[in-house]
Amino acid sequence: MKTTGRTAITKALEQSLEDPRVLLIGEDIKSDGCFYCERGLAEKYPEQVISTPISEAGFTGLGIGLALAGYKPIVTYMFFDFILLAMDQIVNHAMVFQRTYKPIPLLLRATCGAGYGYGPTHSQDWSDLFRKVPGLKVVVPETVWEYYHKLKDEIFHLSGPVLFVEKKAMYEQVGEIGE
Amino acid sequence: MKEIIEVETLIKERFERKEFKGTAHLCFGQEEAAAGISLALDPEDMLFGNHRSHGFIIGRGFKKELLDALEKGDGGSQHVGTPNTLVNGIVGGTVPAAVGYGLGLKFKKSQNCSVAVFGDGALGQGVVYESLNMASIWKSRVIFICMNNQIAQTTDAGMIFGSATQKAEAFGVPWARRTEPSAMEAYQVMREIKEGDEYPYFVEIVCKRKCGHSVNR
Repeated sequence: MKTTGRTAITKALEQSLEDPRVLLIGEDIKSDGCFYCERGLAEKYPEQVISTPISEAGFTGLGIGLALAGYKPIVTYMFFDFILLAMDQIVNHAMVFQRTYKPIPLLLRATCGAGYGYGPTHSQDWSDLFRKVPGLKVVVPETVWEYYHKLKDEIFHLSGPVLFVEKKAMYEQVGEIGE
Repeated sequence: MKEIIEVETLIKERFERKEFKGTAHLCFGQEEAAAGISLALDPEDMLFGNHRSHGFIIGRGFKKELLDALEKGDGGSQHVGTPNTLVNGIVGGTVPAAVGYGLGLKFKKSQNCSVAVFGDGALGQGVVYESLNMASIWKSRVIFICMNNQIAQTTDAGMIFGSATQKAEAFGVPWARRTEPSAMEAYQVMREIKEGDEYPYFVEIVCKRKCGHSVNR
């Protein structure tokens, strides 16, 4: 089956949400998401899709607490640049709790990349910065196939913090996802 | 309470004898409230604390884990995770996780609660206000406890913060304040909140820290 990168993400999220422990958390995601990756998910899973205040640090910490309460939160940052507001929660909390307490199954999704002319604060790719964080798994899919399969696999096997990096331009790309 | 003071005295002595390395933040003067609050909680209630959490860790029965952490000398007593008490060394940093945990309890229709313990110093952290807002809009099962010992490390809190409870009120979070409560009074205010089953809630404990900010090797 051929589809766009955007639909590959939507499908992976939709199938993951069949597990009631999976929660989508982020700004605007109840109204389809900034890049329409979450289109229709809130109608199908109203209890599991949570639109948040504009509080990146706060809702990242919220995700950590939900992970400790037995959930699998997918914390979504509208733009990768905004994750920097949550750096303390990721580095000094999620990663530290993995060491001092127990595993934190938490998936962080962030969108970056050029092509839209959004410039600084709305395009930057900070993957390399996060590769310096000990223990944090950074996943950067490169094909539509990987957008679908890697996102589904990472959520299914989630046992610690994972950063999943998406590129805006890939949302328009068409590729095979199988099935 | 007696146990908290005994263990705190032991920790202080072992630092003086240079048997512990790293740092620890003693809670002399705050033990009555810590004992009462700990006693009021059920074992399944989750407490998220800060650097000055000895009273809660001991109060909830994890004296051994506390001393082991200091013995290990790797981050000491401000980085301790026990089954129901998790503390960390960033001021105000564990508060949003407490709100998330409380939200999870609400989703699961649990009767338990989550507790966020922080000091007056944390009132300077933006993430605490983000947390109050999220807890208020989603009715997270969380009790915020501001241990207002009136001094932020070495700075008179009166110089840098206004009223703690006014901040709770601004977010529509009901609050209670107790000034230098006995362990029984602290226990009672917590039991009343738990039995009232209205969340979130904010408790300000006005107290005095009767020791320095930290002991270090």
